[in-house]
Amino acid sequence: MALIEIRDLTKEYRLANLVTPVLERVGFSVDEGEFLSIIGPSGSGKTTLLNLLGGLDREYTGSLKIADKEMKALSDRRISTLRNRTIGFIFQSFHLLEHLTCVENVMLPYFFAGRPTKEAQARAHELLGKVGVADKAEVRPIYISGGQKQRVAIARALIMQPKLLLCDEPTGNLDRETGAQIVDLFRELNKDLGVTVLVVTHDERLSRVAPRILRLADRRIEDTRTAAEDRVPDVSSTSSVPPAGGADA
Amino acid sequence: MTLVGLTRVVGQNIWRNSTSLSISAIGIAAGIALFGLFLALVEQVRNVVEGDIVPIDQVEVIPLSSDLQRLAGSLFGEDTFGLSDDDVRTISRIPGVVEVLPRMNYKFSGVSYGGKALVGSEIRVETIADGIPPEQVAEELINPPVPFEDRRPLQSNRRCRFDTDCPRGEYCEVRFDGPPAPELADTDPLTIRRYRACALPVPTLLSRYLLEFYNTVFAPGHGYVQLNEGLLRVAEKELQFTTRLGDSFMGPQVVRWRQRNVRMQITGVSEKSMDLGVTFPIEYVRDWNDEYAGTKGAARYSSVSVRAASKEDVSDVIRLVREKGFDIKSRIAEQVSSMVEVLGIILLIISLIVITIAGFNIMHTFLMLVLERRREIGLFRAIGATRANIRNVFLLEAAFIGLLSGVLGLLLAYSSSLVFDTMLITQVPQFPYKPATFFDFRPWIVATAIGFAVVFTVVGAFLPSLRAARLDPVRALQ
Repeated sequence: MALIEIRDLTKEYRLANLVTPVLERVGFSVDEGEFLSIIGPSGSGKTTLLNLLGGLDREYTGSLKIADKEMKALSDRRISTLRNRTIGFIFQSFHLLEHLTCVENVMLPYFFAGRPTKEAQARAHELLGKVGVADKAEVRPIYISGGQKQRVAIARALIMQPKLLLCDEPTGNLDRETGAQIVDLFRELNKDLGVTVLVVTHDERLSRVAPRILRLADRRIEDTRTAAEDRVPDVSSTSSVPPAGGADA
Repeated sequence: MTLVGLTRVVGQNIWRNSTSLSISAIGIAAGIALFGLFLALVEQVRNVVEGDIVPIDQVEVIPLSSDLQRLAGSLFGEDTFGLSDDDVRTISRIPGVVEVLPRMNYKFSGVSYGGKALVGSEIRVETIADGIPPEQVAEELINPPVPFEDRRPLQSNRRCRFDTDCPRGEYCEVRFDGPPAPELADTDPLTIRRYRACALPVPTLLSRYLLEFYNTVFAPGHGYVQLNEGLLRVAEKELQFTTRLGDSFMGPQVVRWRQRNVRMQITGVSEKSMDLGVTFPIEYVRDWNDEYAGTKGAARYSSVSVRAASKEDVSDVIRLVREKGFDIKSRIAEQVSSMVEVLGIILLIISLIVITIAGFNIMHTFLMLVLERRREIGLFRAIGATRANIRNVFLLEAAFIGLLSGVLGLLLAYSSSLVFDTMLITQVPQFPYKPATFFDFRPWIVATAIGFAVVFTVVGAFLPSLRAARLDPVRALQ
């Protein structure tokens, strides 16, 4: 079943009389459980596409459906619920709140879902363990490394058990080795939890991990499926999930 | 989003922005302090003015002066001036009236003298007095030296020549048998029997107004001792004075030989007593009027003091009293009350200006906070916050700040009132109706002050909260 369904998607930015087209009549679909990457040069519209997929930007023409829901037709409340329950965001700059502890950061989506705090706490601790930073639960993000921050952000993205993970340059602020560990983590999450992972990157190594690559160029998209044997990334990776508190960055 | 979750996020936000929010809160707290202090001051002024000086819930009903029917009746020899018992009953049945107090004025002249034992010098004054039913002040007087009642049934009436011939507490009084003084013209004085008998002094009430007037105008001018209500309760013997019935400084009203002395005993201070004069049990006044002004003067009441259920009922009571054919004595209370209202409004406006300025300060702070938390707002939108959630976070934050500012402002107001009270009581000389406190923090003032603090802070934060809710999440996250 298609989780993402895009047809004739066109996006342009307007500034006074200046119209800048970014995406033009783009179309593709993504099934549940897929792992794909979107690559392309700077300014090709990767992040724009990700924002459209996440419902953060709903000014487009054409059709964009997530879980069979047309994004621009949803009310603010329903699109917020969709973002809360179905989509998990992972950003290049982590976007962790510095005044909260790691576990509180992970719990945040639960507050907006109106779920009990105790349940949120238990689940946040479980996820922090799963991503390998259980020992940082009560630490504020300023005291942990970049890799650990991204693991906390991944835990936050996963807490509502979303169907779709949208990752915007998730390794952009990490060194090579840490980046590889994060990539491995995505692969494992995709494999173990069946979550659909969509990674926007300009990192060729990261893109090669995905069995499917969407290449953005000249406002168009080129859909490439790679062979399974080509999926192993060209990085040194010894363990898919590092031990808790592993030395990142 | 649950209230618990919202409160948690708001609590964390307040904690991390405590410095900037505290600075803004100080403005609101200062405004609320002024607001509370002014309201409490005006409330106390109103209490003193409307409760003690000019009771606002009371009106004095008098006969209609231009009532032709009454005038015609009087021409035919009927006693139509004044109010009858039927009139009093009619007035008491008017909706909103909770108490009626018939009053009977002294309808002749008298000169009172005494006070040497109490104030060090003999005071002589023209007597202005009236009478009221004694049972209507019985509960008000606390430990009076003698009860305020018609004491004649209790006196011995023993024949005497001097006070010493009388039982303890009584004095030797001159009495006459024969027609009332106004009807003496054709009477041979030798046919009037004059004798002396022992009598109990007449219980007398003073008003608080008279006491203040004496203490602030009369006593300082003549170097007399000041009086207070406590002293009036303990100094029994010293509180007696003598009234010469029928005498007057303006020339005798009654032939000299028909005048006589009556001894009075001050028994307490009552708000029901006449303002500038003294009040006796009505039975005495009725009999003296009969003796010195003739039977016509003794039959009717001069006025009826009416107390309404509340000051809000007064205007309806006045209207109904007029509809029933009576008149109302001019009401200084209304004018004074209006002045207090104007004073209150001016002070209220000043404090509201301060709170409004503080509200703008809150708006500025929250606009800064929206800018500061731009990325955070973007993140919240990305992880599922609705626009309403974002707006509510800011508004609840403002409400908390408002609540804290309100409480802080009231504490500030209350502590300032204690300082002002101490200063005013110790530094400012005694003046009429000087109260023990100058501020009355009623529960409604506390509730209004906190309500205003919350409302002004929330209103101040409303625009910034809308701006936060409308932030484009894509731009906010950049």
